[in-house]
Amino acid sequence: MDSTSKEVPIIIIASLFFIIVAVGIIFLILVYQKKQLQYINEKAQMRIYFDNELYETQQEIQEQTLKNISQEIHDNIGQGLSLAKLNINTMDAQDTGGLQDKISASKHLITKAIQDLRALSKSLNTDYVTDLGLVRAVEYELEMIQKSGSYLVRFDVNGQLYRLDSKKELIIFRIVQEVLHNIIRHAEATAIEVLIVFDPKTFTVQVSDNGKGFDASQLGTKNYEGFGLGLRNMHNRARIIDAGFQITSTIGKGTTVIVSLEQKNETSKI
Amino acid sequence: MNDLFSPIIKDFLEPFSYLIYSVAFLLAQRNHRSVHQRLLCAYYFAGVLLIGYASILSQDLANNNNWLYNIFYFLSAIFIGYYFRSVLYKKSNKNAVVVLFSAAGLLYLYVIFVDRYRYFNSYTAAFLFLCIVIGCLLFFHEMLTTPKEDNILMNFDLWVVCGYFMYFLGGFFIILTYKYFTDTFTYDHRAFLGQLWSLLNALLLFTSILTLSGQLWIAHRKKFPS
Repeated sequence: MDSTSKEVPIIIIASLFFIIVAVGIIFLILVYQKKQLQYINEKAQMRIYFDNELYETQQEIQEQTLKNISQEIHDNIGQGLSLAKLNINTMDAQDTGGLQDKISASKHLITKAIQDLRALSKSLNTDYVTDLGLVRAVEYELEMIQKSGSYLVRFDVNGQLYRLDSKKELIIFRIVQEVLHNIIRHAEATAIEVLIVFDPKTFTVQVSDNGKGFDASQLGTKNYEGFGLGLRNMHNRARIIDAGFQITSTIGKGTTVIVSLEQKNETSKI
Repeated sequence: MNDLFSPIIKDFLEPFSYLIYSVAFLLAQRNHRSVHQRLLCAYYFAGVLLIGYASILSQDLANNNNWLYNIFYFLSAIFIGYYFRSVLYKKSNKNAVVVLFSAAGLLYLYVIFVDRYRYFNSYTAAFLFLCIVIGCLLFFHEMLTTPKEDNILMNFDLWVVCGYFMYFLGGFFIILTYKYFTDTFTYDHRAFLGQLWSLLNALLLFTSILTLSGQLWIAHRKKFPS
């Protein structure tokens, strides 16, 4: 075999090598495409899950708002108007001094009822969280709790205010609303403290109470067994907006819930 | 070595492969009527006639069949170029394909009418092979950058381009060095040359069967979606 004919096997080997390379490239492309498709589908599923959660959140906020309104009408507006009616019924035209006092008291009661109704009408708007902003919506929620007279409420806001994405605001508000609701129902607390921190890098909401507390050790392992759906929902909702959700509790001393959201230049300054 | 490939397989594998390709495109355009698939069907049918005749001529070594290959490769530049222009959707890629395949077509016009090259023109053919490999890479690039939700294996063009990629990349070196070997080899060495050409033809047969299988699989899945 001379040198020229030795070159033929080299060309054949080189060609076979190129065929293998071609097959390899095609295989890699097909695998990559499949993975990419899988990723797109997962993303679409996540979007559907997010939209469902958002819809549920809106429904729950509406439900909670209606409960608050019903309670407000019964406890404050209704009481005030009944008192005003009683004043009017017991007015004596002969007693000019007493009449003036009763008219003035009734005017005050009716004015307060009108103010309360105006405040309530704002919360009837389904987009009131988006319209008012998270801070004002939380403040309004706390005002309602304070009116009950059972809690000492403190609300602080630190840092330069900015708006979050409206969907994220809605979900964070619902988490705060749920935490406050849990405090009222289970904590046996006398004081509630809410702190909102607008840090340029992280947005944080911290809700604390001085209630009876509970053993939160198993929550570290994301085990919500025995805690009902509320906590699991809050944790899931925080997760779908990429927010941190942390609960610390000491028996006899109270509970603190912290929701933190890293900022990725998606905020707008107020 | 000559025993490895019987003369019939060696000489008629190529037109037979083109026949398989034309059947695959005929079936494809029946299911999904598109101009580029119809044109490729006609192109492969022309390939059966031209290369079939070239194979008959090659039975007698005194005959020269290079002019038939030159015509067929000229048609390849036009039809496969048009095919890539049709399946690619980015304007820049379409333009690149038009420029590359026009250059290949012009080179072949020069070879056919001016050069009248008696031997197989390796460098022009290698350039055409390279153009087709680039076309395949552009197709894969578009496929990766714009993933669709449909099953990609249901896309007949993917099977076609995968076949092209294997054949034209795998055969690039053979085509590029073929002139060198025809220049250096003596009459006694022709068995080695035959070996090279047979490998190319076996690869062509494999890719044509792959393309036809793809078409049959797509038709089966459309008929019996699971």
